[in-house]
Amino acid sequence: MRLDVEQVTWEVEAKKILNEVTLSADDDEFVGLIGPNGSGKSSLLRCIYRSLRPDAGLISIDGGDIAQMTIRDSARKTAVVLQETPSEFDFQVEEIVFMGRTPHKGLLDRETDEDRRIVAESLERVGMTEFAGRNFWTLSGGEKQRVIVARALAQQTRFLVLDEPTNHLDIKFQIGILDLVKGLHVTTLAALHDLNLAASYCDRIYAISEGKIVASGAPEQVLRPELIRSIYGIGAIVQPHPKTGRPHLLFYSDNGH
Amino acid sequence: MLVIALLASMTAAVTIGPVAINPVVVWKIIGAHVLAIDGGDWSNAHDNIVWLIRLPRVLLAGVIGASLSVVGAAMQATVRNPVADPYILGLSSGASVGAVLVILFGLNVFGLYSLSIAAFLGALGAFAIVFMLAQHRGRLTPVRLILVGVAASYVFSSVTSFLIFRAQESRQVQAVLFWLAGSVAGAEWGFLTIPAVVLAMGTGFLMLQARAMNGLIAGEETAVTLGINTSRFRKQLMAVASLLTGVIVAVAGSIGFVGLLMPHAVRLFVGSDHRRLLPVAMLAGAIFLIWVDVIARIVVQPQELPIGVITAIVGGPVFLLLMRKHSQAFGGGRT
Repeated sequence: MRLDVEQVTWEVEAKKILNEVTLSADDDEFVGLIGPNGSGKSSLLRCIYRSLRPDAGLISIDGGDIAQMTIRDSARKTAVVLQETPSEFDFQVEEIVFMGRTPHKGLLDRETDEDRRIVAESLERVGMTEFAGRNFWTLSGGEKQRVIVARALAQQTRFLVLDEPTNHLDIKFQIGILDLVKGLHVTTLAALHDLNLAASYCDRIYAISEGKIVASGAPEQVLRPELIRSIYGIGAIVQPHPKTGRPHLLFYSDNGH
Repeated sequence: MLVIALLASMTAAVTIGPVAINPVVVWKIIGAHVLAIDGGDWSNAHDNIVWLIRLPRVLLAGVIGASLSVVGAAMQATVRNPVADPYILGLSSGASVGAVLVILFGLNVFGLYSLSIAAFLGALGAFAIVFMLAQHRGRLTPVRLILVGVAASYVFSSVTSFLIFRAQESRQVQAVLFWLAGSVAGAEWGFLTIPAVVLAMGTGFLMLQARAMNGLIAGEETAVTLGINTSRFRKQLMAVASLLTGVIVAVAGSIGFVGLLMPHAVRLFVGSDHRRLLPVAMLAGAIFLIWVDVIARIVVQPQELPIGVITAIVGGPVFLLLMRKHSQAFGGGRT
């Protein structure tokens, strides 16, 4: 699955939240999106998973303009892990994961053994099998996030959008989730706060600031001290990670901390 | 099991009244009418009481209870808010205006059905107003819907209050108050067909959309990522729920409580998945209202209480007890 975003602009009250953003992700590529809070990361992802409609530009999946697809067709191609799923209603973990089957089911379709197998497998892959019957709201933040990942897996798409997928997770599960996603061999676009995780997992990284793409390329090309300084306003030292050889960032404030 | 409970409740409800009737006789009478057999070992009086008075009333209570409960669940999903009920969009207040106009000014253009038709038109009018005002660039968001609905409710209620205030005869005021509290006392076979058909069709539609309703209450963005066109779907849900509510209010006034809390009571047992919630809520709502109506009939004999007065008195404590027992539900397990 290939994603192409061309010249996408999205405005709120004449302010360009996204300003002619162009970005792409190749088949099986893990692409990271970094940038400070309010830079437009989430807005861009929303345009891609169709929660927002861009004011200008084109977004296509495998060459097909998503604006021409039904929402349901999009959901069969794109699965999304959002930061948090608010709901005032109680659901069991398994019911949440079953929701991932929604775009594949017609009005009269019942759950098949195939669906049940997919759901069980998705839960297993995130290590939540024994939580299947639990009330979603009794879970910890990290457990919830894994359930939401399982729901995205149950959607069985070739393209995955992740908005801060490692929020609320301890380091074991941060790495666990990203290892899992990487192992799926599907096209992935992930907004990541943790630049070191981005450096470790992304094939390519786009840096976005004030609605514009300001740098793109392999992690070592993008994650440079000058760029970090210009978009985050802090100092950074970049070293190769002694174990993986990937760039590793050490941050410091100008006040000597 | 609920189906059996429903049939048993219906039978029992028909036997209870100023004249007690043996349940076997009840079924014989029903059987005779359904199969068009003449005569039997029961009196004409019993036949009339069962077939013309009590059975239509019990059936109507069941249909109304079922509809309220299903619409309540649908409305809660539509606006993604647990405190929504069938009346949240101002439909019952709109209907009240229509009904009160008929009662106070005797606008009997449609004969026997004037009251119901006026109430239905009032509900439709409220629906149209809320539907148009709540839209913003063709989109309906839950918060706007609720706020516009509540605001419209207050406006219509004020109009109703004003009309009552201006009413001349206390007998009319009494009639209006009775109607406002809701009742199935006027039940006869002629009032049953439309509500039953609308209930069947509305519930059928909602059942088909149960999976999408699950997605909708999981969150606005989540629903989109699951392939649900939230704006269009919400409009459909709103239209269906409003049609059902309009019919309910037209034949039974605005019976409170059932549509708000019955879906929650059912969620305690079967969870939030609408594929289980809707059918169970339908049956439970029917059983509940049938029994509430029995109480309304017998508690201050020979007078009758409006059914809407009893629903909350009986249902409220029961619901609170249930909620205490299921302490994990409704965010009890949340941190």
